[in-house]
Amino acid sequence: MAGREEQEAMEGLLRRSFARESDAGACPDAGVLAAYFERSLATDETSHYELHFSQCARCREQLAAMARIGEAAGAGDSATEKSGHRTWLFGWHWLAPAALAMSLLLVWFIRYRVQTRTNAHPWTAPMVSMMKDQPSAGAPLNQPPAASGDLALLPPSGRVNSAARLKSPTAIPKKIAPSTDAGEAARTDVLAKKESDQNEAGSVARGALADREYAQARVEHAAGQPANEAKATSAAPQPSVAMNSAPLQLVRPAPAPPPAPAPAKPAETRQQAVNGQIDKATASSGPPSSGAAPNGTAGAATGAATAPAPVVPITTQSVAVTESAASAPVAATSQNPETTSSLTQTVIGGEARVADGGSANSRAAVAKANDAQKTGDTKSTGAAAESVQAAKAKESSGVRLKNMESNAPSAGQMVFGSGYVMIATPDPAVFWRIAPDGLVEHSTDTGTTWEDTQISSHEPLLAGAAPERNVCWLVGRDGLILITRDARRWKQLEPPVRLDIVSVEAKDAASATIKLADGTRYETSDGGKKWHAVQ
Amino acid sequence: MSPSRARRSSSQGLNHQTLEPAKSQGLNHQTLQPVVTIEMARRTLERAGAPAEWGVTAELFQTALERSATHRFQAGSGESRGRTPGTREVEQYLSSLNAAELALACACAAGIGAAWDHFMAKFRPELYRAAGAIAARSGGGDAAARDLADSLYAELYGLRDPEGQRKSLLDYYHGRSKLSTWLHAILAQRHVDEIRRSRKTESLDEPAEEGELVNEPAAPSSAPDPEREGYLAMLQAALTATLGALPPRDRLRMAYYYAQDLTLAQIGRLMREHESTVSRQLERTRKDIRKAVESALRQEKKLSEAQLKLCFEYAQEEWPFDLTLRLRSGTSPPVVARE
Repeated sequence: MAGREEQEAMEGLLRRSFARESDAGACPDAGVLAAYFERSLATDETSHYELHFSQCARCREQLAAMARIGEAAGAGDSATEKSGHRTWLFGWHWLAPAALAMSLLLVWFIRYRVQTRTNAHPWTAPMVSMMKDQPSAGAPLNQPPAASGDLALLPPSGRVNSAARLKSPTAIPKKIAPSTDAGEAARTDVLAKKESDQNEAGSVARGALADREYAQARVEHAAGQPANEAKATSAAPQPSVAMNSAPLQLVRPAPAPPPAPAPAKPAETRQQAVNGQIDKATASSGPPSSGAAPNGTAGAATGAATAPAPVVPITTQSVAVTESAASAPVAATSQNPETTSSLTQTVIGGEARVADGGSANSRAAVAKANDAQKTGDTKSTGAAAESVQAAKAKESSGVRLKNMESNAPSAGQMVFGSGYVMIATPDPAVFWRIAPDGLVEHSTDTGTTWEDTQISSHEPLLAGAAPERNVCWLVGRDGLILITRDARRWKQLEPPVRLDIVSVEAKDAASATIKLADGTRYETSDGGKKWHAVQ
Repeated sequence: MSPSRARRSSSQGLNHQTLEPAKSQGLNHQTLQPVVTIEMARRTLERAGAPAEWGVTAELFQTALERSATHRFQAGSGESRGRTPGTREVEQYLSSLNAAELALACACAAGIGAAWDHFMAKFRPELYRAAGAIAARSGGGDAAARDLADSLYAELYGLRDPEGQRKSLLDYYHGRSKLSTWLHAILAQRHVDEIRRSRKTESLDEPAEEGELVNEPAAPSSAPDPEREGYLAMLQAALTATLGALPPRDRLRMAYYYAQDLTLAQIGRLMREHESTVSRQLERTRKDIRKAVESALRQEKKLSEAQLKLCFEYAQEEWPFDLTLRLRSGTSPPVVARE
């Protein structure tokens, strides 16, 4: 029996043993609990009550509740501290002179370089001529102007970077901090970083309020290949035949915009194999439906059915969570057609798939965006995307986008109503979703009704991927990885590290790649029994 | 907050005949010797710096301090239980108290309006926030949080017992912690007790099958071993014995992790350890438990390595790591455990 399985067996045994524990009786009153919580009991009292707590589920539950209250309070305090830190960092009295100095230095550097090259600027000419006329002068004058200029004009190391860092808030969320698992050097290193982060930020938030501020999953939204973007299907409902050959997912590549060589590399770095392969699959399968005709769905089905089934592996990618509405309009108004289209695509997908409804205005805007997209009108698509976003922003339920990295662009963010994380499957009628309260629900009728999967995790679930109708991977905080292979029974897998997992891509029930909050990736090909770091 | 909004449900944890918290250690004031003198009370009151409008007299404060000291030394736990402390010990104890907040609690329990206004201004937001944190955890919204917080006000303000004597929940605040922490403890107690009561009610009303877990153990691929039940029983017994022999802090840490599903940060907060320490200790304890269980099975039950592995295989099949046993609200798993 493999070591991991033995570990799982021990985990299951331990949980079962503690779950069967009853109360110890003679529980202390609230005053003792409070004093214990504050560590104001005497040593002998502490030992006595810890023995009781170790055997009493009721007391532990009360202390757990107090810990959560304290954590929620700590989140508020740390947020205040963080904002205080940020305020100090962006204080005009410090930043303005630094910015001015940097600007002057930069201007001087640029001008001097230009003048050195051209020797045409009037104020440098005397210097140059003097240097030419006095070749035997002191060492500095004998040095080549370019070299001395370079040495003189190079800013002090790190100063530019420091300024740049000031402008971009800390990307790594504090929430990476909490969970570790002893015995692993990687976690120990992360721990050291976490400790410094945590000391700086305060205690980690927990609970619904804290979770919202907390680092959440961010989906790396694939940019998609330009050649395939125009043919990429929208997230509108697809016929089952088409979906069998090209699994539908909410994360679809951005369609339409004209290809640009420059962004290709960053697009590739952002793009996962997922969507690119899906695009290839859909392209090879034929034109997408996307409402191209009144009965476009049927047409697409026909087209897809007659096309040869793609051989390329098809993966699905997971989702992100919510963000403040303030950032959503930024995404909509972005001039980057890729992100705009992504948002459009997402919104359309969200509108089409999410069963929690939306206003008539938003649906009308979605239809308009669809039309624009069909005709390949990039401008209209962008404008329609903006109108879609504006309509959505007005809805009372609110469309909230949240990004784990506060400086991340709009691309890759998914739009879901009311904080639900939707996970699509290849079957257009089958969905999973992670509710804001952490419940996981399952629908087999296109979101009309939802069934509670009875999963309840105290570690928030952050993302999921469903590569098959009955297969779903879920990931979350503290190394939480769940999988079902039959849409009924769920199994928790041992993670490679007990850190927050923010996204998952899955090919099938055996193959998946997870991504941690710090960007580290791990993949498995044996259903999660072994994980390998991806370089 | 008027008493008319009081909720007189004894299920909320208060016996309204005595206004004593349920399951608390009772105090028999008639048999215990007074340990706090009036002079001690005056000095402590002076240190508290209570505003004059609160009307806290030395005599009133002495009663509160006496109650606190009695609870600590004669009805509490530890080495000092059941004995009369010396003067120095009492003075040290009094100096460790949150005197100002104890004075406030005294004044509120006595029904002094200025004190109650101060209490409401300072602690009402805190109560709502704490109730919100608890209610959110169990899926409740703002309304549930307010209900939880509001349920306390009447009892904090004070109710008249059948004899007409005013009794307040604040009488049970002894100043050993901050008043806010004590209020958190009260809220946590109420919340947990309510959940446990409703859980037991559901388990009686609803058949276990309704809560049937979607995770079913995988059927063994081969013919069942006739000694399977025996192996499982041996394994469970060895584990139970090992857990019982754990040092209390190790056991408490494991229980927080496996029973209450707390995060490392939360466990660290409760045990005053850093997360990394919690993680290391948990790992160490897991390994120790594993070694102890295997040792017990090898030496006491004379199992071979193959049989040992079989034990764990059976255990994994019989009791898979079932996520549906986790609680939604951070409380213990259902009383009717899945077998």
